[in-house]
Amino acid sequence: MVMDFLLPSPPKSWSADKTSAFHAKITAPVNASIQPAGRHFLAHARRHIHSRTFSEDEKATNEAEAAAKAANGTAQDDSDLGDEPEDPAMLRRDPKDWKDQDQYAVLGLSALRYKATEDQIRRAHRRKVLRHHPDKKAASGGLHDDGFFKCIQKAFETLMDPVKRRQWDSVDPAVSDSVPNAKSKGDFYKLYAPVFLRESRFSNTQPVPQLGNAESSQEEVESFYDFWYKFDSWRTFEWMDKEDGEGHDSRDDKRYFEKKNKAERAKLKKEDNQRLREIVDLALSIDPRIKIFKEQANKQRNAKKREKEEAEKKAAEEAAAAAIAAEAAAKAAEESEKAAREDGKKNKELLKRAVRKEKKNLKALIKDNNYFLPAGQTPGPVEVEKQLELLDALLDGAKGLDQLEAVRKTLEDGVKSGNIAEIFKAEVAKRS
Amino acid sequence: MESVVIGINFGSTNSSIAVLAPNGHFNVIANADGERMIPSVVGFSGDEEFSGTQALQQAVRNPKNTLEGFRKLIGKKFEEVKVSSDVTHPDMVSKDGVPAYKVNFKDQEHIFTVPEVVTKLLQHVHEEAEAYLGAKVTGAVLAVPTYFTEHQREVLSQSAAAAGINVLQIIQEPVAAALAYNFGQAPVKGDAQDKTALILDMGASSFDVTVLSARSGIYTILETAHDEALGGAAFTEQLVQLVAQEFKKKTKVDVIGNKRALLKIATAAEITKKQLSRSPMAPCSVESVAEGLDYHGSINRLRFELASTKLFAKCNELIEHILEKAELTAGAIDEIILVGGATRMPKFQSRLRDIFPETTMRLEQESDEAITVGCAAQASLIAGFDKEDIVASTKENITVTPHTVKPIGVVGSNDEFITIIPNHTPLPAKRVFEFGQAAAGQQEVYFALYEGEQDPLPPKKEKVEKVDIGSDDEEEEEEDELPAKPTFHKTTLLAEVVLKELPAGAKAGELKIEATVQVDVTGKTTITLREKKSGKQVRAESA
Repeated sequence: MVMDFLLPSPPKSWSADKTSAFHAKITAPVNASIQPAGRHFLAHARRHIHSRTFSEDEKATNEAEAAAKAANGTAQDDSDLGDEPEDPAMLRRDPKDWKDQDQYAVLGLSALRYKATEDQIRRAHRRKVLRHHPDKKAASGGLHDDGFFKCIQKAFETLMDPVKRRQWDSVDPAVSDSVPNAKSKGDFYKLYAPVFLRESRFSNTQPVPQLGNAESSQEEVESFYDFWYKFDSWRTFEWMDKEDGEGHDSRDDKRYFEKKNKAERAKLKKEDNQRLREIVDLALSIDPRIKIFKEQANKQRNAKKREKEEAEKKAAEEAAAAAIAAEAAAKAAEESEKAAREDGKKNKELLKRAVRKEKKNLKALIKDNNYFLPAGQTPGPVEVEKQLELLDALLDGAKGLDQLEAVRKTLEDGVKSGNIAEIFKAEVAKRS
Repeated sequence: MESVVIGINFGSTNSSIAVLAPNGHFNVIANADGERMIPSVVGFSGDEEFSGTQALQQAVRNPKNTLEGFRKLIGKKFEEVKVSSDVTHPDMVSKDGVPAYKVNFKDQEHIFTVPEVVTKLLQHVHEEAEAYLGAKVTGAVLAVPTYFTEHQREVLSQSAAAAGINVLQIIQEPVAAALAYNFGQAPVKGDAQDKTALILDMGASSFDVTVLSARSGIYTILETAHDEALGGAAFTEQLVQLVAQEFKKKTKVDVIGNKRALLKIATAAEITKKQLSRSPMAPCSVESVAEGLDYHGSINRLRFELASTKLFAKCNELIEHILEKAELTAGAIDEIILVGGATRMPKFQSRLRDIFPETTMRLEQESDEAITVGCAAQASLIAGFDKEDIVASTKENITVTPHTVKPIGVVGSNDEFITIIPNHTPLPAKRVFEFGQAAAGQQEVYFALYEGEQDPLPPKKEKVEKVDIGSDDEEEEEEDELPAKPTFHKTTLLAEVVLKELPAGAKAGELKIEATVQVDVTGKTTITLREKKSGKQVRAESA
């Protein structure tokens, strides 16, 4: 609702920084019954049930409406056919030259061309017939001129016959056959995608892989080029035949023309295959993805090589280090062995010395203690000899320094306790 | 299955059926007898049972076995019903406390309770609808007067169900009438309409007055009253008296007290009354009124109006009373919706103009059919819904909602209060308004929201009650002053909002600022200001 009311500037007392101020609540609302009728009540109930706000509800209903509309939108109309103006020159065409006419333009389908579906052609034809039917023209006071109507019928015949339509599509002059210039600058995908899309229509195998984009995987790109190098085209050039094979009286003439046409067709077909090949070659040569893939492959190979080299180098280094370490270890072992040997010698000597010292001690002990004879017995030379022999036997029996020390201790204890003679005897008996 | 939904107006005297036609209009459909109005009458004669037009036709011959006026007995207890058993009325008995009619049918005494009779009539109506449409009726919306209790509605619903009718909803009669006129129903999207209507429904046997507010298309009944003494029948009675006097003058035969004679006169007077609504003079002829004497005469409209002055005055009294009760001035009524055949009377309308000199009167629908059309409109709206959903939507948690008590608005340049959200607006409410900015180059606008209060009603002038009204000229002198539209003044400042940094260099009023004011059920207020071109906006929400 538009109000006849103008909004003033804020009052002077308004502080610049705030945007709103609330002063009071509205007088407390009171409950009352509303009448459950009418579409606005339904909207109220809907908002209440779904607890939506006004704007949420508006959005939801709009969406629902749009969905309902879309569901109803399948009803057919001819808007897909467009409404193209008719070229006056085309309207004046002689139907005898129907082969040269633009079959799509005649039906008003020049925007769709090979993309037009059978249904679209049918509808377009109907539309044109309604406009150009000779009866209609006569009724509106025009001349009884059915030239263009015949053109329409011919075009319709052509396009409704799948074989003839292919023949016409093969040579449709309005669809470019051009090979892109190798040097043309610009986005590769934008430049080549339409070309491949256009050429796809000739493929016997459908669907045809398309150029894709920079994100396509290597596999996709490879299968794409693979497909296009093996492209199986239905393109034919019968439409270009010089003369209709029929209408010749002479068999020879007929054969002659047939032969000539066939040769011509073959030639054109070959040229066309060549042309397509050129396009694919060209695309492959400048495809940025291929470059990237190559670089990647290169890089990978280089990386592998480097890795290998590094590994070898490392192995060599490791081997050298190991050799050095082994040498050092051998040396060390030798040295330690030597040291050990020397140590052993020294020890032996020391031991020998100790043993000798111990034996000496024992001999001194025996001399000092009356040759271990019982007290009161004067050692005669025989006894002395005998006692010394016994001692030698004892010393021979006691092997090693420890036993010698033990023997000495026992004997020394014996000396102290005074019964040395018996202990000596027992010791001799024990050890020898 | 395609849904075929109808609106049924089950009136106390006549019933009718309406359906949405393919062209988007609502058609009131005719029964097998070609009548758009089906009399709410059920009769039993010999071995046959009649409903509708045929039942009415045999009413004079067979008054004892002809049942009419049973709508107002729906859901009532026997004790509440005033029984008038005499020669011209069927006998009434109580059956388990429910009022029932005792009739002679197939040479036997039969007792039919009121709900059973209702079922018989509705069954007839339903059959007529299906015969006309040639399709099965999948649902129907019925209307009841505002004074019907919940229990009465329930009984009606059960009776209708017993008649094989899938009752989608039962709505109030004034609401149905408002729907028929699309009162206050803006297009699906777009401007909200806040209007108040006075709905006058004068049927044959009662006069219902309702003040109905529409806020954003949602209806609230502000006040309602009814008077069963006023109604088409009361006016007919005046004519009957006139004819009886005339007859006595002519033939010296007094028919007062002769029920049969009066019934005959009444039937003729009913037709005369309808003709008087169209022409200033109408003939009235009754054959063999009493003692084999006929009556042939014509009645002047003025004479009829003079005789009915008291009734007309009573109508106006009731209207003024209800306005007072609703605290409304006559100027606050935006539209008057006239429903019911009796509202066609020219005098009734001119007397109405005494109170409402300029208010729009809506009577372009056939006034008898407005309710039926409204029912059909509601039926077509809810046709696609599940019955449970419809029931759920009429539950109290949805239909009882807070309403604003005082109007909310802005204050204009010379301090007058401009209402944005009027009082009696159900919450939550949302209103969108567009403003201009006041000065050239103004880059900040200030929006203040106020609550207002209605200015006190002007003191009522003591009207001299003129019992005997002379010519029309005299009346016109009375209507000197127009009832003023109610005015409001601001009382409380609710909120202030400022929208800054508007595009510079705009002429005064050039920028369009859209203000959205939303009030939720708790009274929380949200204000959004948006400059339409730049999309610059500010949103403020009360605590």
